[in-house]
Amino acid sequence: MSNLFSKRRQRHFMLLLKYWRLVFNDHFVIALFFLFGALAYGYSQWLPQLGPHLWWSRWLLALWFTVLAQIGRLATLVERPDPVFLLPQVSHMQRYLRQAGRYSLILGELMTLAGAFVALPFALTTEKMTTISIVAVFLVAVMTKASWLETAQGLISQQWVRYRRWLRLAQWGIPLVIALVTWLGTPVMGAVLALVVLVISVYLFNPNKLTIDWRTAVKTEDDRMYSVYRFFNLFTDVPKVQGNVKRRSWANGLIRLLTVPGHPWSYLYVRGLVRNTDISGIVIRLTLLAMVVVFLVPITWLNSALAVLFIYLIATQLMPLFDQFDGNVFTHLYPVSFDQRRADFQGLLIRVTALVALLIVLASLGMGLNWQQFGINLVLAIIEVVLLTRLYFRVRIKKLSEEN
Amino acid sequence: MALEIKNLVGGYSQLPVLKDVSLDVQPGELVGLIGLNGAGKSTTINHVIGILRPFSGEITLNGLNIQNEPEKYKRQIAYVPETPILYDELTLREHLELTMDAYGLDHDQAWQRAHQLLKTFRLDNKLDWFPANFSKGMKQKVMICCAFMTDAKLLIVDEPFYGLDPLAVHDLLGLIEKKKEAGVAVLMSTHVLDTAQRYCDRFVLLADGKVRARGTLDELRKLGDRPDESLDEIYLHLARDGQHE
Repeated sequence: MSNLFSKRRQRHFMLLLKYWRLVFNDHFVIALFFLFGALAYGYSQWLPQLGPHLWWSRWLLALWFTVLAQIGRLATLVERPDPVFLLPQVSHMQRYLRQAGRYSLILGELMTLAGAFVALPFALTTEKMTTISIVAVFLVAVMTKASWLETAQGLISQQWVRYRRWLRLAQWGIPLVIALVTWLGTPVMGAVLALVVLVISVYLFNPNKLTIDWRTAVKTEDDRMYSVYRFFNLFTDVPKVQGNVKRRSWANGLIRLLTVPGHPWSYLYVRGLVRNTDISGIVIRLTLLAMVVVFLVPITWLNSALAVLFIYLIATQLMPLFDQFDGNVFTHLYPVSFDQRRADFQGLLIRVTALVALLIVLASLGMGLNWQQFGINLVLAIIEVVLLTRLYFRVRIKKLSEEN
Repeated sequence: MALEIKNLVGGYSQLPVLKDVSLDVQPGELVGLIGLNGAGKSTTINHVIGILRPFSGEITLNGLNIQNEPEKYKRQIAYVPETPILYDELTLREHLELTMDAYGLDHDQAWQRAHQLLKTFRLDNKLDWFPANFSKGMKQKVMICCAFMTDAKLLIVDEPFYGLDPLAVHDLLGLIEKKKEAGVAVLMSTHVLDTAQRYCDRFVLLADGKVRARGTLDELRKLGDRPDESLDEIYLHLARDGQHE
């Protein structure tokens, strides 16, 4: 019992390791590196254009540090059966939660430091910063994160569960106040305030004084793990991510438009795509992001490259839908051939990627109605959609059916 | 001859769970598949519906073999699983429509049958709901509606009574009776022995992956030399004997 947390942490690491390995195997990640590279390049190009003393720069920094405090949640690693099996363990659970708190603190602070480093060049460009104030800013970020995590301990305790809503509000509100004092006042004042808040939250939310609220703790941890899995699900198939389902009656017309009448697999795939928030969510988000990006980027070759890249990314996100329903025994019972199933999926893939590609190409017209850009992207998109839905699709499906 | 299983050896991995199982179900007949937990009932059913591939032996349905003619074979079976299996993404109406598409049924005729079934199980006002959020019993009713709406020649019903209210159990038995009259063969696995005794035409008792006994109730009584015993008692005797071996 005493080393339960370290055992769980080890298992958790193994799981993460397994998924990270899969992530770095996929070409999706190369595309993401490309995107990050473009972002970093854009950031470095943007900074010299900024003058000192912009009215909004301090507000932006305050906002950045408030959001930064929210990143890195309390990882308790509790599991659904725990309330039953660990019911009699009271003092051990306090110890367990202290360990969990330490583990989460290390991870959270690392991310906080990284985020603070990203903001540093911007702050140095727009603000006058002495060495002391730079140190103070880092201290503020670190202490804010620590008190945020202490509050998270309170959130899963029986003592505080009734005030859940207020604590959630405090997790946003207090970092915001500290950040405003830091950037609109002085970093040293911010650091003093952050220290006071930290002392109070350590006093209030010490796990030794709290009793775990199992229902909330399990729910919170489930949600956290779900978002971890959802991240990995961008790159590879995670069995635990089924996604939520929404009725979306307003999309009935779209469903009818995409379904091939009388084809059971088409029927199933279309509804799976439209109603499962997971795949449709990522497709919609990526499409909107792509439209904004190609709308704004004025460099012709970069614009076309980004358009091609986004269409590829979106098409790859559709692939897991192919075996989405394999867990349901009835899909194996239908008297329908595999070729029919593949053809139905391909049909859907063609329709969706063509639609997405069309939207992105239209957006690439940009503010100045750049018809040349539009023409280049249109030709590229048509070639790409054909290649993706014929060659790439064949390869992926072959790989999938070999794995099974 | 509807379903015929000959010398089936099979299971999930290399290790056989079923050892030389033979049984048959004739058209218009309800055969009860009976056995303790882990006796091989569900494994047998998984072989019949084609989820598992036999190591050796043969399964034929009206002369069709699933390996040779999978589509024709599958068109002839309908399955009600032990635990309801539904699509999270589909409404009740869409589950029925998908089944119609999959089995290539005429929608108008199939909907007539479906409406009757839905009415019987008091689901007719829930057509636009997601059955994934229903209670266990109501989910089971959806599975029954989907299976009984088809014109399959063989119905496979795995442990159908769990979670069903008494009225629904009664209705289900009535539906099975009607299917039998229409010449459908029914294979049903169950632990509810007093119901099985009243409704099944024949029984197959499985133990440890083998057929321990088979026949009508009278034949089973003769076999154990226990003329007045109920199926429940015969089964208990056989099961205990099996454990002592």
